[in-house]
Amino acid sequence: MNTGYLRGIYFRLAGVVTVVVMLALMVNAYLSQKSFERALAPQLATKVAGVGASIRSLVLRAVESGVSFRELYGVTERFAEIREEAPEVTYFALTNAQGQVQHEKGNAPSGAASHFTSPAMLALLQRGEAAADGTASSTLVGKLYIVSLPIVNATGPLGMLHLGLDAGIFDALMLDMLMDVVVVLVVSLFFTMELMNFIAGAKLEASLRQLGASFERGASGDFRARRRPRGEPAFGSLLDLMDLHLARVNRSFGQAAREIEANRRGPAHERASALVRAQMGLRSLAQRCRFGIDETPQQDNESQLAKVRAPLFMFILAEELTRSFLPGYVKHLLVPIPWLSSEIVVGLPIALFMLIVAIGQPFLGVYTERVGHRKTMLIGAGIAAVGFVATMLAHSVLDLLLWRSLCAVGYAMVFVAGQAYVLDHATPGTRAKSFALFVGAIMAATVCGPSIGGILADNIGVRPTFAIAALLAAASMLVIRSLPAGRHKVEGKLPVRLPSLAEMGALISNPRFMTVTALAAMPAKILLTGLCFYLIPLYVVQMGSTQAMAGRILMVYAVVMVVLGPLTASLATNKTRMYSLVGGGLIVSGLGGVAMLAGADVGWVFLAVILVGLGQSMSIAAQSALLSEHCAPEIAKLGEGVVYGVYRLLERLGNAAGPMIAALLAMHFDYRTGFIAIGAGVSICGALFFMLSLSSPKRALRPVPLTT
Amino acid sequence: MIAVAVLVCGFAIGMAGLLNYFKYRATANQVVVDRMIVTAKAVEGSIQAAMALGMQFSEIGTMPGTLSRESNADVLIVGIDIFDTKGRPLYSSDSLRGRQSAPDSWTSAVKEAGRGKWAVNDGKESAAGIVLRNNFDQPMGFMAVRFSSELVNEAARAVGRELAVVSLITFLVAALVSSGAVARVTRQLAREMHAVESALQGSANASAAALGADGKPSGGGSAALAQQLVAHKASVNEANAVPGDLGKALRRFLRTTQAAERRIAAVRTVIHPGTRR
Repeated sequence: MNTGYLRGIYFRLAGVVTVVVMLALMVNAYLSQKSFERALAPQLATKVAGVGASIRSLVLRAVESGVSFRELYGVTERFAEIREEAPEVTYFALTNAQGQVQHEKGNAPSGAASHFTSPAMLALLQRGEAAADGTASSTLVGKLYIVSLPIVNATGPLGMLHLGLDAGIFDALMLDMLMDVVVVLVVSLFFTMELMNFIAGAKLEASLRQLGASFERGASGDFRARRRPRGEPAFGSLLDLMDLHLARVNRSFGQAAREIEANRRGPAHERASALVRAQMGLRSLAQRCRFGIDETPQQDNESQLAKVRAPLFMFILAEELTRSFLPGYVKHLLVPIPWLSSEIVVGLPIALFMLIVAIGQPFLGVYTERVGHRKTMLIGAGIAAVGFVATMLAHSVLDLLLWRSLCAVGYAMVFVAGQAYVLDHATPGTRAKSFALFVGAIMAATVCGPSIGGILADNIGVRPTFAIAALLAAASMLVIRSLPAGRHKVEGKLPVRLPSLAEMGALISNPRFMTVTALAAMPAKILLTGLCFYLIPLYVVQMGSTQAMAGRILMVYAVVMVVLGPLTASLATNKTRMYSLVGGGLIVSGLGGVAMLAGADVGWVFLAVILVGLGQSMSIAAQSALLSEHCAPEIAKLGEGVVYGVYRLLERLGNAAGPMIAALLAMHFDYRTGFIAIGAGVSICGALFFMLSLSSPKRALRPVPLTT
Repeated sequence: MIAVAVLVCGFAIGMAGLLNYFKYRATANQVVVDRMIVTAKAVEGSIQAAMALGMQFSEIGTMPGTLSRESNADVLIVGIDIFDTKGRPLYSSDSLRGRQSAPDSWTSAVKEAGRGKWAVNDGKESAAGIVLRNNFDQPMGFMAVRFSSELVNEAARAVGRELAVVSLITFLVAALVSSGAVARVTRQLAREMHAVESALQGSANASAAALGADGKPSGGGSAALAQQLVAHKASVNEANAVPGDLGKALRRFLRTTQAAERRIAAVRTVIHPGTRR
């Protein structure tokens, strides 16, 4: 059966839920916004009334000193001063007891004059008192919320002070909230898809796949009896019926064959006259169709494979939650360390984390092979959960380094075991698809984590957010337990081994290998961790913005990667395009950093991140394939595992170097220069890569394993 | 699938509601802090005016009265205190509190704030304020406007309840709509699957009718085969009701299996001449 049909069903089901959830979130956001407006408007008005109170007391003091209310001077100047203190107040007016304007500053809203002389205003002046609960009321006049304060002295009412609060201030406030709501919407959609996939998607897809396979077996004439994979499929009765159908044909064939054989062995006079014709007919059918028993072991690899997605997503989400506020947290825990500047110390926990992941991965690959995926992932998630709790309780940056190292060890264990699980459950034909599942889980976590982490850190605090990360890591252990305990046997798979120093030396001194590694892979990672993990969280907060904003910016990077990644990967259809994608991607992502030359606002950081995301999505997919192209002799000599192992190690050392390079630049110059210098450096690497790759002869590309 | 849809709706709307509440609380707190800062600035104006007249910062006689007046101007304000740079008390609107030093959380917040405003929101000791500087821009102390967190929390709880109701209603509607939509899709899917089952059952019945109780071709020879062919064609026609790719796959399935069955039946008819009429 056409797989499009299967996908169609899945997307129809997932689609309706997603659309309904999206609409519900939008309605929820709209209604919440209205609640906010109702609750916040009086509070803002009261704040503005506080601003007005100082003007009122000034006026009263002047009148008490003998200055006539009609002849007050310097009032508009005082209005101008107050406006500097409270920029949200865009209009001031002082009216007399009849509501006529004596002094004003700013543009009066339409209808102001009639509002000032309205009976309600004059009555308020006569009462001459504020609300009993201390809150001030506001009235929307034109485009301004007018807060009016009566000015009354011992002799009676003198006039009114009116302050106009731009209605746009609420819009700006609401816009900020709406941005969070959009983040929640995007994150919820990703959560929704993951949850659906975890709860029903995998089972449904497996059942549909079984259904398609049964149709295909019947249509192709494969009537062999076989055992169905374990588990209760979604279309059990239909599958049973189809199996019965196929089994009946198989049984009839067997009976016919036995009858012919029995007839052949019988006495000649009892044989059917058309026995030969029957034999020929059955033989011809046997040539076109398959009968008997299918002994091939039935493995539902894809169903097993899908099980790793949920624990990976949950675990990686725990780490990604901390992405947008970790540097700020480190800054908060800074203690003087001799010979190390504060910028370097802030970068240390991130760099150490990346270093442990880079160095630990080859060893953990061997460890995973020995103890199994599930156990490694369980231990890793447990270590990381403890690490998050300890990070939450950290006293200074010194103990924080230790706790982050625990998180790094846990992360590396889960990552390596997850990757090995995918490799072990994928066939050569499904390897790319299987890795898409692995990368998809990581990318979904990358979209959701920093943004939600930033919002949580801003609202409930950084330390409680680490507690949530710990809970997530611990909860992922429950899901990891659903993975099969034993290690899946893979036919012909070589055992994992560590590259020797000689092999590493040979590769590092190999110009072809280093062209891809040092000019493409490492700069890409330096840019990623230097900009996204170090500079952006610090720079955005330094600019007066929030951690939530840093999270949103990092989410944009992930969304660009998720949206454009498959598109740019599909463009990498031939070697020329791959060279262009790698080189061009590096130049584009580098330009992201250089874009900060044009401006320092948060908007420019958004642009920088979009360009970085675009460039990275262009270059990352094609880099592995190019390594295979450049180092075909080395792969033939040392083996694919060694070449790719050293490549990944150096690439991840780039991850560790990124925050340190950014910290050095920030120390000697400033954060913005850090963006520009790293961006320019990566663009130059891209240009150099182009030049070197254009000058070298190109061989045909070989298929390579995809890894992240 | 309906349970999944309900769970997903609950998860997404619950999370959105929770984050909305946090956002509201943070924004409302910020508005309150700004409100306290306005008062602090007004007091600062009085201090600057007194110092412009030549008074010492620590010897402004009118200050307690000013603090008391400003403190009474806003119901949220519990009291206003002024400290020197080391956190020692100089003035307070609350005479009983006059001798108390600033809590550590306040002095740390002041230190972190540097030149700007500071705020500490930790239940009993919630306060916001500013650093006071002299004409030479040197810090001479700081002001703390203590405010009632209870009133702020009360308002936040009220909004929280409102948001919870909004989220609950949205969830119920969304769960209902998504369940309905999923049920519709699954019904459509079930209809298609039922049509497939029906066609398969028809084909199975046709095949069964062509065999006797002993499993051998019944009814005799070509007539039985013709009958089977007619029944098979009927089941393929029934399969025509199944739309799209599923229908195509079913028809291919039926044609191949039925052709094989007829072929086998024909062979068995040949070797069982006794069954011929």
